[in-house]
Amino acid sequence: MGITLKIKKYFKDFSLDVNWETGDELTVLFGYSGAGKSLTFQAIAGISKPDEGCIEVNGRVVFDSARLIDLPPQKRSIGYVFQDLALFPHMTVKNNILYGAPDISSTERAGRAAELMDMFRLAGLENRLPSQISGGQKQRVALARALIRRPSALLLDEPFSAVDLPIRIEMRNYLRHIQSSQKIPVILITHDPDEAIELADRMIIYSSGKVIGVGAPEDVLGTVSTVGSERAASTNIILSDTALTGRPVFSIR
Amino acid sequence: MDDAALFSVRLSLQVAAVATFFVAIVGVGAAYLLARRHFRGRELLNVLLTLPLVLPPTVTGYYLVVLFGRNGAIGRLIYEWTGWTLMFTWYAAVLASFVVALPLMIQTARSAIESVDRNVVNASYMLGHSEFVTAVRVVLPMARRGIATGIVLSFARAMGEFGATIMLAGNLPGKTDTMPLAIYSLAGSGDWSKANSMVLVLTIVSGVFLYLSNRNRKGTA
Amino acid sequence: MSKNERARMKLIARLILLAVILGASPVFAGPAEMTVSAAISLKNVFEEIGRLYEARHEETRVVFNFGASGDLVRQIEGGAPVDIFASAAEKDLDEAAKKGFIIAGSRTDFASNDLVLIVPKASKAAIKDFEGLSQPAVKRIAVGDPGTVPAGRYAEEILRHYRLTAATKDKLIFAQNVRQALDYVARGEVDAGIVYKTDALLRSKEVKIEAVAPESSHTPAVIPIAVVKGTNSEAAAEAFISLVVSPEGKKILQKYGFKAAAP
Repeated sequence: MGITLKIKKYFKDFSLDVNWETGDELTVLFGYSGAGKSLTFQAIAGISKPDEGCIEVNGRVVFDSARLIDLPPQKRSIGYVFQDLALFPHMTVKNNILYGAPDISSTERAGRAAELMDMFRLAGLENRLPSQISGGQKQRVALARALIRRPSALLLDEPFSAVDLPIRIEMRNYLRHIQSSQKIPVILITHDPDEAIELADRMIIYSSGKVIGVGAPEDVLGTVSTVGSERAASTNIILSDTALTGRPVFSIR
Repeated sequence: MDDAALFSVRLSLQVAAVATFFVAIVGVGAAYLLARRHFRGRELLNVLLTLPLVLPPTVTGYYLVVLFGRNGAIGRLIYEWTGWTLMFTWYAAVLASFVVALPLMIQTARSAIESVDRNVVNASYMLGHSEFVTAVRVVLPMARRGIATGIVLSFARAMGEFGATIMLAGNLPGKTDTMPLAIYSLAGSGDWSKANSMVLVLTIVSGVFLYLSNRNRKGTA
Repeated sequence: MSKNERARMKLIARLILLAVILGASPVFAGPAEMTVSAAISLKNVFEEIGRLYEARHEETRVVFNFGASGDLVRQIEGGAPVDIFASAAEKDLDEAAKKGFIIAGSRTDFASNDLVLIVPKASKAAIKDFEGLSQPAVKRIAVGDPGTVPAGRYAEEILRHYRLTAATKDKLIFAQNVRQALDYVARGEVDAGIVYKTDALLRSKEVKIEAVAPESSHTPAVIPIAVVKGTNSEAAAEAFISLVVSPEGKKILQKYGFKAAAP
């Protein structure tokens, strides 16, 4: 199973027009900020409505403008980790996680929460507030909260951008583990080419509201350089962006 | 202080407490709708609910008399059904304080609710929670400081309400004369020493409430 | 909703309202209440007369509602449960009568007020009479706004009577009501003021009465009282007004500086 998506959304000076699909794998949405990656996530999650198109998650149509289908976010069963994590600041770590599974019995919920807290090494922090734990711990809480209801897909909107490299590496390991153990589509938005290359089974490259490349990282980055001149210009933007971050310049294999 | 003065102090506290109770319920509900829902007539509702903040209270009181007097649109219905009129009762003082204090509650609660991170609300929806559950368990708890400030301000405003109250509730000694009305009566009949001591009581009580609201606002979550 | 249901809802609503009202009115079973809306300037007089009335009519409890005469008219218009209305000047009672809220023939002008010239107690200016207002040392004179405040209109007439209109034209400070004019004088914000004698007496610590305007200098500042339409007990209301104009009522009026009307 996976996610199939074909949507359009128009704004005054920007339009999103994308069409891609992905399976039970780890997909990276890669591109310059403002390219429409977060907007795509919001459309999948049901918190922003496309003007037209359809979205299918694990074989279930969650949005179809032609058939007037538009499931509310509550019914889409998608785990979503926001860039700022969006933890509930007034709830303890434990309650943040428990809050993520409203539809199951309290004993089962407590069992799952214990399991997740164990997996994400959160034991001992149960009664802390989000303001009382470290950045890496917060990320693990956000992941645990998104996973407790066993979502049919997991979306991560640059959740690791604000933490140091060692924690990022740790989180990447978690992601790979989650994807392989849960067998659900996991999609990650990132700016970081190293992260993209290291994690992605498949890469989808966005530029100005369009997809300019889909495939395995090594293929996509090759393809991108050979597409038309206009698109190549977009790729240059990506490359110069990378150069600006001061990390080793993107290597095209 | 004599019995009449004690009555006024007690009545003021009672009126302010009851009015604030309803202000808190209605105000938080209205603030939530205004902050998070887009519906037709939203701005009109906002203007209508905020007007008592800027209108002279006597004018607000006049509107209330026009609505709730025995000859008024609502007052007539109540009178025809029950033979009772709201005017010149302590309920009228509650209603006047309610209407005048409500905008303070709505404005403070609304900005507190609006400042709740959109993503946090979305996160709750994504986790399968309805808007109502999200409002009760996420939005309102996160806006609690603003709501608490609104409640305290409303109480202080209700305690000091004069113009609308004297119109709708009248200034009936021993029945509807809250502290501000009693001060007006005492000054009007030249009873300056009693008036001054009640001014002092009102100032201290209001000051304490404002201090509490300020301390509450400065506190950390 | 069916007819039956609607009737039932109505009944329930009535019962709830009734319960609320009963619970809130400790006087429900006590003596009948009579509400007297009166100008705030009549508070001392009427409270004393009210006590006298209650002593004689144990079946009735007198409830007062003191406020600005204009507001009292608005309340009566709105349907406030008022039995008797006494305004500070004719204007407001006239308005209520014109709009049909007063029982015809029930009106009595029971008292009148003197207009007096006052100065701040600490004032050093030698203003001994109304003519003194023309001297250059007198810069500001507080009066009620003649357009809306009856006392201001009387003050205007007095100045005209003394041929001071031109000399004081630029000195007049118009107050929103006569109490405010009095307050300006009491606080020494102005050099002099023209106000009701009864009001000035209430602040005798702060203001000095220099002259009383003769009756011939202005329209009489009469104070009217009348029974309001829709009263629960016209007889009780009439009895109250009778007491106000009785010799005992007059004595109380005079005690507070009012001039009782001639019988």
